[in-house]
Amino acid sequence: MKKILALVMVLVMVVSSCSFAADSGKKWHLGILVHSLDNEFWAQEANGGILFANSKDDVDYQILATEGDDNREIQAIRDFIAQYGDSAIFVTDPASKANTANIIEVCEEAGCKVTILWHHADELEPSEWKSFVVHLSPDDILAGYNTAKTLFEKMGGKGKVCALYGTQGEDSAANRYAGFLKALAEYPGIKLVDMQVASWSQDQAMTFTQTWLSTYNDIDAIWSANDTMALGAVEALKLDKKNGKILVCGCDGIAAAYEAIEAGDMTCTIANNGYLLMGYGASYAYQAAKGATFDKPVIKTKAELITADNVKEYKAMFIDGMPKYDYDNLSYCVVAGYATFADAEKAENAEKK
Amino acid sequence: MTMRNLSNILGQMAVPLTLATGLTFVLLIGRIDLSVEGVMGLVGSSIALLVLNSRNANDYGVLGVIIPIIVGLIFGLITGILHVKLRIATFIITYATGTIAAGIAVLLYHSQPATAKAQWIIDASQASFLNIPLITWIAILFFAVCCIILNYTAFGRAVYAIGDNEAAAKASGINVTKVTIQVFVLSSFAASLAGVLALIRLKLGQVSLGTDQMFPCITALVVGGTSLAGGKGGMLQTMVGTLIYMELLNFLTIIQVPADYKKAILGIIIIVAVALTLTRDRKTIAK
Repeated sequence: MKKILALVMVLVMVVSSCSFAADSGKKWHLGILVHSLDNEFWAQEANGGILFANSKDDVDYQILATEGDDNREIQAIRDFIAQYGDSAIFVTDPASKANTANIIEVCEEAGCKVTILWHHADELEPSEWKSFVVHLSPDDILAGYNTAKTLFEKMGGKGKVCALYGTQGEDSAANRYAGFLKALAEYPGIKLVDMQVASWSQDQAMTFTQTWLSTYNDIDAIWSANDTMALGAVEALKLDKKNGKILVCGCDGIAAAYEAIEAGDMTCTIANNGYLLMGYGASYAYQAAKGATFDKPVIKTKAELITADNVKEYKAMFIDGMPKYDYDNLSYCVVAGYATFADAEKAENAEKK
Repeated sequence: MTMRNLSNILGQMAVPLTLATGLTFVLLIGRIDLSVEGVMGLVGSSIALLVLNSRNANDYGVLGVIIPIIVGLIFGLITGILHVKLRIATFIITYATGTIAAGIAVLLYHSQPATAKAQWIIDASQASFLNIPLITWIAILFFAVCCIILNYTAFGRAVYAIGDNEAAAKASGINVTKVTIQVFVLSSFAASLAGVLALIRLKLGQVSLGTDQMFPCITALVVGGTSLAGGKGGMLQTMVGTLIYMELLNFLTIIQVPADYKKAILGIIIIVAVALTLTRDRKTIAK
């Protein structure tokens, strides 16, 4: 009985997936690959992809959650291609850096176009693959630099700062911290007291901040590589009634960070803007599928510095509503474009110095 | 070590102590409960949505805490029943129910977690007595009640009996099925309570309230001397293990171990600590 049930279940699944494949026409099918929807930023990304798809009559979409798992991501892409063939296009916030090479290989074989966000494997150049349309990523070094600089300016150019680092081994954690160090070098009056790896966790960040507060009594600011950790620091400061007195900055632009900036508990954050990243990423893949080519496929995208001055305006746009973008105007999202990652890296290294 | 620092550690141990207390029972009967992280995340994020918050107009006060805890208990009940009736290994079934709990939480807050704004939650996070935060007192109270349950009730004796030898326990008339289900309900209650305490501490109701909470607790239990094979351990070991583990984390920060080395060093210390504290006799099975 059980075996028959299992068999029926499998059959139903196979038949239903085949019936999807039967539908055709001139439609493009957009696979939006995100880690999961349990994080505000990833949900923003997914919504960006949906906003784009809804702006086109000949595009439908499916959200494919990878849970940060390499195998699951590749399987999702293969399944999607099996359904839609070369009318499948992809935009992905990849599960890992290394997996981008596998993604490109699978898409290359099927003749599908794909835009990759954030990460990329070493020596994987868009110019060498037909399927690899563009690589979009906010400039993390610049983000770390800008939040640090805003913090240091507000400190009056002197004082002591502690830093909360993201997850070890991740590009964005390393690059944001590199940006922080670059700003630090420009302000000789600012001293870095301690740095701790809080792995993007609010709980860990709160714990470290409590330890700092009881170990050093003269910290002026805490630089954090993302908003969740910044909010953990703020909770620790609140217990000591030092919120607003010890400055805190974050990065990413989640709703609670906007509220903390409005309340004066946080100094600034960077809105990385998932709507723009995933939406324009999808648009690039779509244009490429229709025949467009891009000679500077390594692209650094726009990100907004949010402070008390502009927090209301951006909260209304990103949190309470959704931004409206003209996804056909591809250059809108571009801050800088490079022909290869090697070029981008050269520019980055110059930036770090 | 300053008084301030001690107070910090005590504040930080509220959540791990609560979880570890519940997990003690599970480990004692030779099972494991991987669902605690998901249940914790579900309870914490539901509370944030039900009390005065940044996302919606709800303001259910204390009910906003009680309802999620009941949901947490139901999860424990379902986990326990599925385990004993379908005979699915706890390793799998608790992973599955925990994933369901986390999934429901995400659906509830639609990827945009709510911040709890209720004044009584803010007050609770700042309240302390004898320099020990209120949330830690709650954890200690729960711990004390569980001490009594484990050491002075028929249920507690049954837990040890099952962990020691399940077949013998059954033969001597202990209702193993019932006790096992009760243990999972208790563990889920602990996870729910930990969710409440974590939310009071951090205010932001998201699934990650529970992330990476379980393994440190199990490590703490093993460091304290509780056996993963069941039957061995107790509340004293739980308290000692949790204190050692929390102190260790704090110590590594204070002596300024470079961040790059910290993880590896922590791993080595865990191995050493467990090797030192494990009691080895004929009955100890490592698996």
